[in-house]
Amino acid sequence: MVELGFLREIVFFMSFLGIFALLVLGLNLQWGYTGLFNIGVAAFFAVGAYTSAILITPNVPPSDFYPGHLGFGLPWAVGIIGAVLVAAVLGFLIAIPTVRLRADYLAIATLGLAEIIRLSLIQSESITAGTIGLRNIPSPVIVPGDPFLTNVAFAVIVVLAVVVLYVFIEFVGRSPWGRVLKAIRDDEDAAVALGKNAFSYKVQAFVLGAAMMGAAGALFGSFLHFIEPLTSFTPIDTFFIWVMVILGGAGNNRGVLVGAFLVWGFQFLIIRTPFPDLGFVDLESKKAFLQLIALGLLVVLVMLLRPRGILGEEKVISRGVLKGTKRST
Amino acid sequence: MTLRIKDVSKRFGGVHAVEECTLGVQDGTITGLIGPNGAGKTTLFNLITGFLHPDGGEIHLNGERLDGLPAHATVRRGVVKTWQIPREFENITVLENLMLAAKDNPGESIWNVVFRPFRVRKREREVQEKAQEILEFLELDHLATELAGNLSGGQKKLLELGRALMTDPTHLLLDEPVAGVNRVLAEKLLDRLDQLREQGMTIFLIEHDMDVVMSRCDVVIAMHNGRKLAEGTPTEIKANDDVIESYLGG
Ligand SMILES: Nc1ncnc2c1ncn2[C@@H]1O[C@H](COP(=O)(O)OP(=O)(O)OP(=O)(O)O)[C@@H](O)[C@H]1O
Ligand SMILES: [Mg+2]
Repeated sequence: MVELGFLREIVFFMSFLGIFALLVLGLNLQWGYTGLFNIGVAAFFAVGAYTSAILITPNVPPSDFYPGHLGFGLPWAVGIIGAVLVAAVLGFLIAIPTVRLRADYLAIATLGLAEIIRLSLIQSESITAGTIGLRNIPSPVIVPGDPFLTNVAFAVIVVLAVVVLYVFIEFVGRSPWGRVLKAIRDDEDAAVALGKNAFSYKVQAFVLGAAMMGAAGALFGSFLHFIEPLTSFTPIDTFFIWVMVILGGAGNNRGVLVGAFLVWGFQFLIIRTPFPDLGFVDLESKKAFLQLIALGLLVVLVMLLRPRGILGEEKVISRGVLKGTKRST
Repeated sequence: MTLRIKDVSKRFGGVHAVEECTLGVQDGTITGLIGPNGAGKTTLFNLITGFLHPDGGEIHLNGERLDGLPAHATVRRGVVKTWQIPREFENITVLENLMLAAKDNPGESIWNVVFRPFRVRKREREVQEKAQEILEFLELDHLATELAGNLSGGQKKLLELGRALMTDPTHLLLDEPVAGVNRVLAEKLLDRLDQLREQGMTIFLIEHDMDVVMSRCDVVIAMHNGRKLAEGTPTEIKANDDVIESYLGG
């Protein structure tokens, strides 16, 4: 039984790591590649989670004990596809008016968007069940009578999704397309002077990143089977994703995955370690704050020692170029 | 004459940077643009390349209106400019700074990257070869895989020129291309501009160094307070009283 308990922990850890991985890869495309200052990651995450949940969970009418919520009970795949599409459309709508402007406008717009969406989810009780939360969100694969194997199947699906997306993002990231994104990040005007339609590229990167965050939201809901907008999808969640990206190395897909592993690993250990009650203060109840303080210190430390993050960015970013330079020298 | 500027004005608040300026650049020439600091030379380049939009007047290239076009679109019509103060992509290698400037790279569309990988790879190889040739010419080839942000000031100017050349321009607008470049290399660069002109490229060049202007330009246009003050051969301009006064009088 001890063995199974340990396996359970690993499955839990990996499932969440996969969800974080999708989020950091999405933010890295926006910020690390293109320099788009999106501090509303939670917006796209939330929209993905609720879109999928409503699509795949059966409708629940209001009762004395539960406000009820909208639901269509569609197949699981419809949920994640819907989540990706709705998050992408939202990304498009927010990108069009803001990415043309200076970076700080995008930051303010995305931060505002995230809070507006969260508050709307709280308010639209008849659709989302409000703060009571939307429950019984189904898993992608259900092994009848075996919740453990059901969770294993989920972890496998998440990890597969991360692998596929990682390969895709690396593939397009090392292409001339990805190179233009990085040029825009370094100096947008200079890229425009060389004929690049910076606006179009920024919208593309923003929408693609938002879509990935939407997918992460869909997976998040079906993993916990429950979502609520009071403690989830907050600016703090966005902050954690940023810490992972900055810590691991913005602009480097492997770096941000390392960042996600370290930060989530750190959080996981803190959650699982019992903290003592010192009498005048019960540390166990203050964990959340201690964790934030510790992470803040960690970020400061890494930024001092390795300003470009733990892995930093690779020098040569185009596929095949190094081979070429060796040949000619 | 294919590049024409007609009555173009640009104001920044109360500053009349360019004021009803009318001038033309003859095809296949190296045309120098001179004038004291603040005369409006850089602003004029920004107007031609769509980085700024004129408050009045028109800019034509081969009979087509250039003003009103977005800046990225002017490059596709063959007009490219370099920056007076270099603006390299600092976290990208020197070689890739050049490669990403190439025109018509199918790989810059994500659709092609995914669905036409072989075409993308083929063009990418051509682009790399061309970038390496230009780097060799600019004597930057030993820095190919260095981050552009680590180059010296003069090297960054060379990179500016290299990037502009990668776009296959018909009209090359150079904002003080040899300022800060050592004499020997500067001469070599200017020789190369001569060659490009022989091949039919039109070069419009802002330059403060009178020796360079005198020895290299076919036509010189002098600006002062946002207007064209004079135009002629280098010798004519050198002897022009208005021009001399504009420099002395500030
Ligand atoms: N973006 C701007 N905002 C406000 N004023 C500007 C701007 N750009 C240029 N100016 C002003 O317009 C005038 C012309 O500037 P411009 O840069 O075109 O001069 P220049 O001829 O290139 O000078 P230099 O030889 O020193 O490079 C100057 O008075 C300058 O202060
Ligand atoms: Mg200037």
